[in-house]
Amino acid sequence: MIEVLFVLIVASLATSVLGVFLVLKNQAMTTDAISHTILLGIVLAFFITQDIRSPWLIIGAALVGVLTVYLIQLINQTNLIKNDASIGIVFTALFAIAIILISRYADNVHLDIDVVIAGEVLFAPLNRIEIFGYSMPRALWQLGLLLIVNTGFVALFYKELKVSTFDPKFAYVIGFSTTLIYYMLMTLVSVTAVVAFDAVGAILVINFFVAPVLTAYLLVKRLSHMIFLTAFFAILNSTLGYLIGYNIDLSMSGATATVALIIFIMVFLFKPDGYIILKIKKRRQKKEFMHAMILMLMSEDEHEMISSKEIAKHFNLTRAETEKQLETLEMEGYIVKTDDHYMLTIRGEEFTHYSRIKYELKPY
Amino acid sequence: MELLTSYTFLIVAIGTTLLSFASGIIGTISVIKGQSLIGDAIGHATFPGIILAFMLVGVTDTLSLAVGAVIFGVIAFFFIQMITNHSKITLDGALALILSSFFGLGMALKSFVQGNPAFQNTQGIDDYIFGQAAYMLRLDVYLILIASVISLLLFIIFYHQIRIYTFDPIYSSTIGINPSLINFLVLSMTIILIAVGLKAVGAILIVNLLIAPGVIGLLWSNRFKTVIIIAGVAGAVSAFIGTYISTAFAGFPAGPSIIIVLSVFVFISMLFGRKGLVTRKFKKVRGESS
Amino acid sequence: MTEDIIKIKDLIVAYDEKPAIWHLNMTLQENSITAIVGPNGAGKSTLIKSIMQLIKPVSGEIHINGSKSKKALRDIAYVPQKGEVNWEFPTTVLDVVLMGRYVHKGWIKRPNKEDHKIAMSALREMKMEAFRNRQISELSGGQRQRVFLARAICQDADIYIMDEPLQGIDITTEKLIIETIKSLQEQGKSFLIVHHNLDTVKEYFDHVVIMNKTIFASGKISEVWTSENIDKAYSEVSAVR
Repeated sequence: MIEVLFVLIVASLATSVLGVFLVLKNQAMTTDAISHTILLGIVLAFFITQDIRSPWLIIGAALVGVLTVYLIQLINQTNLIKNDASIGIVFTALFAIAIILISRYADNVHLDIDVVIAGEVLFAPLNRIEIFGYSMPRALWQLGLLLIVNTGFVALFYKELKVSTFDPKFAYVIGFSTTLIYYMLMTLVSVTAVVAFDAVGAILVINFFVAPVLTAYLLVKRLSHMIFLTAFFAILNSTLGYLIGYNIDLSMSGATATVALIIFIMVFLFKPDGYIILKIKKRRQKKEFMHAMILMLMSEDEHEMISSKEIAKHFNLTRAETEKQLETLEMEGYIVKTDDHYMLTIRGEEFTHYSRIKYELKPY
Repeated sequence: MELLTSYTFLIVAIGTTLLSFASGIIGTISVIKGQSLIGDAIGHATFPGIILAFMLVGVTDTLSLAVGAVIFGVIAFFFIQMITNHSKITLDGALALILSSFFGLGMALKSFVQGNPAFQNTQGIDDYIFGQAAYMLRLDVYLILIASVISLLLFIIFYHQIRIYTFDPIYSSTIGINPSLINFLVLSMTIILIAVGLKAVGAILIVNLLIAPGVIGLLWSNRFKTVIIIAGVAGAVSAFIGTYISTAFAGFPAGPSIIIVLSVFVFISMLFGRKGLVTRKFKKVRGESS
Repeated sequence: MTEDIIKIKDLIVAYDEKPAIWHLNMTLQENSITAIVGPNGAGKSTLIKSIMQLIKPVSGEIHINGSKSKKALRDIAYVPQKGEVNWEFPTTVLDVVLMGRYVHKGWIKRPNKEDHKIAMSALREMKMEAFRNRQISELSGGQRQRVFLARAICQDADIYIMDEPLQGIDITTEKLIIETIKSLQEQGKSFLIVHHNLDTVKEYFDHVVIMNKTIFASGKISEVWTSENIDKAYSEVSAVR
C-alpha cells in the first residue's frame, strides 16, 4: 500500500513544480483545458494501437495537449475572441469529440471514461515494471522520470522562466524566445498530465498542478521560496489525502483534492496577514479611528460640551453604537460626563494632538 | 421525418433547445465581462452537490439533485469571490482551484457512495458528469422550462439595468442602479441554468452552452440587442440540430453533438462574421482597389 | 446674487481608516464653471465620488439643490474618469448617448423618438454624428470623451461633474469640450471639474477650488488664483503644521 502513497507524492511533486509557473503566468485554466482534451488524444491513440498500455497513448495524448494550447493561442492571435472564451470553447469542443468517439466506437473495448476522469491510484501498483532488477509500479517509474525531467527543466531554465514570467517584454529585448519557453513548458505540462491522469484522473490533475502552488503563493513572495514551499504542500496534501482515503475508503485523489482546498482555506484565513487577522485589525482600526474622530470633534471650540445625541447625529451612528464608544472613552479617561454632556479631559486633549499627527492632519 | 414527431425526440429537443436559448442569452453577459470560465468552475463544482443530494434523498430525483447543484454552485461562487477579493490570487488561479477541489470532493463522495451498500442505483449519477439527454424525463424538461422562463423574464425586466451595468458599472450606480444586485441576479440565473442543464449536457460541457452562443453573437454584430438575439437563436438552432443528430445516428450523445454543432458555428463565424478573417481580407482587397 | 447649488458642510471621508478628506467645506456657485485643483492624492476624485454617493463619508453633509436624498443625484450628470467602462461591450455611439436618457425612464420603458432626437442633437453638438453607428471600441481617446460628454448632455441635468475630462485627449477635442461647456453655461448649467493642467485654469474656468485634503482657497479665479494659494496647497505634501 505504501507504494500508492509514493505514486501520489511523486505525481504531485512532478505536477506542482511546473504549476508554479502556470499560476504565475495566469495560465492555470489552460491546465484545465489540457487535462480535458488529453482524453481525445488517449482515445485516438487507443484506436490506432488498440492497447491501453501502449506508450503511444502517452505521446498521442501529450500531442493533443500541446495542440490545445496551440489552438487557443491561434484563436487569440486573431483578436476575435477573448482569451477565456477561447479556452472554454476549444476544450469543450475537443472533449465533446472524444466522448462521441468513445460512445460510438469504444463501447466494446475497455476504455472506461470513468477511470480516465476519476483516476484510481489504488490500481497503480497492479501494473508493474522491472527496473534494474527491482519490481515497481509502472506509474511510479514514469512519474519519477518526469519529476526528474521537470525539475531539471526548471533548474536549467530557471532564469529564462523567471524573466519570461515576470517581464516578457524584457525577455524579448534581451533576446530569448518566450514562445519557445512557453511551448517547452506546455509540452511538459501535457506529458505530465497524461502520465498522471492514470493515477489521479484527468480533472483532479488540475488540482495537483495548482493547489499546492496557490497555497504557497499566499505565504511567500520570492520565487525560489515558493517552489520549495509548493513541494512541501504537495507532499502534505497527498499524504493526508492518502491517509484519509485509506482509512475511510474514499477515492484517494478525490480526498487529496479536498484536503488541498481545506489547507488552502486554512492558510487563507489564518496566516499572519490573512483574512481573519486583517478583519480583526480593520475592526480595531475602525474603532480607534472612530474614537479619534469623536475626540477631535470634542476638541473643537463649538463642540466643547456635546451630548451623545449630537455625536450620533454628526457621524450618522446609531445611539447604541455611540453609547458604546463613549463608554470606552470615559473608561479610558479621555472624556468626562457632566449632566448630559461630555467634555475632554487633559488626557483626551493630548490624545487628539497625537491623532492629528498620526492621521497627518492639520489642527482644526 | 417520423423521428421528428417521436415522443423521446420531442422531449429531449424541447428541453435542450430551450436550455441553450436561455443559456446563450444569459451567458453572453459573462463573455462580454471576460468571465466566461466562471461557468466552467461552477459547472464542475455542482458535482459534490449532486452526490450529497443523492445521499440525502437516496434516489436520483431530478429536483433534489438540481437543488444540491444550485447550493454548491453558489458556495463555489462565494469561494471564488472571497479568494479573489481578499488575496493576490487571480481569477484564473481561483477558478482552477475551486473547479478541481470541488470536483475532487465529488469524486471522494462518489467513491464513498459506490462502496457503501446502503446506497443503490448509483449508476444514474454519472449522467450528471457527462450528460445523458436520452434519459431526460418530462420532469427534467419542466424544470428547464421553469428555469429558462424565469431567467428570461428577469432578463427582460432588468434589460436596461443589466446592459448599462455591464457596460459601465460606475455610471450605472450614479443613475440609481445597484451593481451588486444586478451582478447577483446574472449569477443566480447562470447557476440555475447550469443546475437544470446538467442532466442534458453534463457538468463538464455545460460551460460551452454559456460561452459559444455569445461568442457567435459578438462575431456578427456590435449591437447588444442583436448580439443576444443571435446568441439565443444560435444556441437554440444548434441544440435542435445536435439533438436530431443524436437521435438519428447511434453513438452520438446529445450534449457533445450540440457542442460540436455550436463549435462549427463558432468556426464559421470566425471566418465570415462581421469582423471575421475572410470578411476582413475581403474588405482589405476592396479597400485597396477602390 | 447667485445661489449655492451644491453645499458641502464639514465633510470627512476616510479610506481604510485614513482620512482622505478632512473638514472640507465648499460650495458650488450656480451657473459657474468651477475647477478642482490640487496635488496628487489631494482627494479630488474622492470628493467627487462622495458627492455622487459612491463613497460613504464619516461625517458631514452634502446638499444638492438643497436636498440630501439620493433623488437629488438626478440633477447631476457625471462624467467618470476614462478607463472605467468595458470597451469590448457591443454597443454603438448613439446607444451609449441614449443611455443618458434612462435617468428619465422607468423600468422596461424604452427610449422614444423624442429621446432619439435629444441624443442626436447632443452628438451633433460634440461633432460626432457621423460616428453614431460606430462601435465605441473603434474610437480614439478624444472621441470617446466626446461621446461621454454627449451622454451627460442627454441627461439634461443642472449640474455637470467631471473627473479630469481633458486628460490625454487631442487639442481639437479639448477646445470643443471647453466651447460646449461655455455654451451650456449660457443655458444656465453649472460645472464642477477636476482639472490637472494649472496653465489653463485661468482660461477655461471662472471659479476654482484649491484643495489638499481640505480646502485651501476657493472662489472667483480673479480673487483666489494667486501663486501664494497654489504654493500653499502644493508645497505641503502632508498637511501637518
